[in-house]
Amino acid sequence: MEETERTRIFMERINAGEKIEANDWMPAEYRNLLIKQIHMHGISEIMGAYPEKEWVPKAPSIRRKLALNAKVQDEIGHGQMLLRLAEDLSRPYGRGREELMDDVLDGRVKFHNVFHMEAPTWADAGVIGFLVDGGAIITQAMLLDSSYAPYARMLKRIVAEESFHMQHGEAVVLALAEGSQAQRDMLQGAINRWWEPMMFFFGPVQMGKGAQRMMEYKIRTKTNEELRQKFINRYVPRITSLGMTIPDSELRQDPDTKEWHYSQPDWERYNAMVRLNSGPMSQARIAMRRQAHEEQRWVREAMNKASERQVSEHQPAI
Amino acid sequence: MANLGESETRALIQLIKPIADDEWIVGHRGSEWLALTPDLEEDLAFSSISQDELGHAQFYYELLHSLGLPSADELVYLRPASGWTNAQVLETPNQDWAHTVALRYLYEILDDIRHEALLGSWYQPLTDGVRKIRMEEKYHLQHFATGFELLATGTELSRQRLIEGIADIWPRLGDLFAWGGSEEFLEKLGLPNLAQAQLRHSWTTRMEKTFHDLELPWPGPMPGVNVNGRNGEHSQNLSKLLDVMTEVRQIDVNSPW
Repeated sequence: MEETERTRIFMERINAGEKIEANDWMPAEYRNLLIKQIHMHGISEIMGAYPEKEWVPKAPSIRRKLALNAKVQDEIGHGQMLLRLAEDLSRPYGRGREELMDDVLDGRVKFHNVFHMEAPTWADAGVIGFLVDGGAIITQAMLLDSSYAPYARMLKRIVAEESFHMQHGEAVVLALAEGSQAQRDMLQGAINRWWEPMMFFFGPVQMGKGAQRMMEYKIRTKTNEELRQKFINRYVPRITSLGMTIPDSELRQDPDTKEWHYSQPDWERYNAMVRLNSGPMSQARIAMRRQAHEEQRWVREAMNKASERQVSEHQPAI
Repeated sequence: MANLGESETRALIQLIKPIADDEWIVGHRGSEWLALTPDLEEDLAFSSISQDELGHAQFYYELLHSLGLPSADELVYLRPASGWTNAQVLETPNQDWAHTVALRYLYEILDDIRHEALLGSWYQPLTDGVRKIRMEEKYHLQHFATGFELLATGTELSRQRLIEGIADIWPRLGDLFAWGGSEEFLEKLGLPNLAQAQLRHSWTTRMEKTFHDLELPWPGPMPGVNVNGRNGEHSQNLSKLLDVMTEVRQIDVNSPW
């Protein structure tokens, strides 16, 4: 069958709401968009471990320490599952885990703007769960209906866990909101730091070509602006009910359309941060990944060698 | 516990506190490896293990609280370094992966011997918990025994680094087997197998077999107890660890977090 005919049938399946499986034929463009999306998603989960990981040794109670430890572990678990999907899709290109991880160190894969930011207080550790995981639930919920079935299935589990993370973040945030003046100030400071990056998080109103093609392939199903509006709508009452303020004097809701008007985040600054890894913590976090991945390649090599040897020793003699 | 006499209570505290502190410090140091281990799969396994260790410590701290000590959170967050009774070697800052695997394997063997002996206690709240803990510890030991073996038999480099790690740890193992003060309390608790000499003997027997099987050089005579963490004697490493650990809590000790 010719390529164009195959693509036409593929698009018919997509438009009929059918789901694509890993071994189904797919156009190279579809595969590449999936790899780009899932690779970035997986790496973002892994890079997202670092801002919170710093707070595990400092968590202020046994309960919080265990919960945060478990949360960071979940994020790494998401990263691992997503990378396995990306590895499957990348097989025709001969690229596996080592290469997909090398891409982070070489700046060939981006990760979410929020994970380039500083998390200087314990309140940031809570606000990340509260706002970032809350935002991630909104973007991931639209992917639950993705045309790529393995991604949709995996997201089901991920979203379920993210909602625990959001609740964990909310519990930390609530304790601070009900605490001393110092705790409340710490919380307000963190909200002030994270609000603008969260406005950027959902992407520009005018979506890029790749994002538009992902809509056409039904890899994703909602626009950036729809997601952002949903987030604002959900979080304005949550934040104000904590007695905290939102650091945006322009923020208001149109009483008729219910649309939120908000200040534009510094698009240029955050875009550059993601593209060039030039955020306040980009390089420090990439350095931690380098420490784990590149500087411990010798461990993985030793493990592989030893396992190979064990397998060959257990081979029956011919 | 209404039926516990004062001296039994004291003996139980003397027994449980060092074990609790060992588990906590090991879990804390383990959690520092989060997102930094050699691969994602190891990260998942190791962070489960760290959470288990912290959870075991929490069980022991709650037991200590039931015996009249402050709450678990207070024991962890409000105790000065001199009040901690963990073995000194466990407070060592993390070094390379081979060092961590070596330390954890050496520790897990002791932990296994200690927990097995604890099952002989007449104090049921303790044995009930230990029975559950042993189900998890079995996997911890398996995990680090495998890691230890793979590094020893992997490449020249991994074997070399493992040997260097062991050489660094070995001379500082002394108080790992020790208790604070005299060992009379073990008589009272009917746990003679936990005497330092017994622990050392059982541990050395098992270790000699591993070293022999893996053809690793025996690192030298077992060190004696030069400084005893069980009596609250610690290096700067513990003070630094506690400074980091309590940094947030110290902002407001009494406020809920």
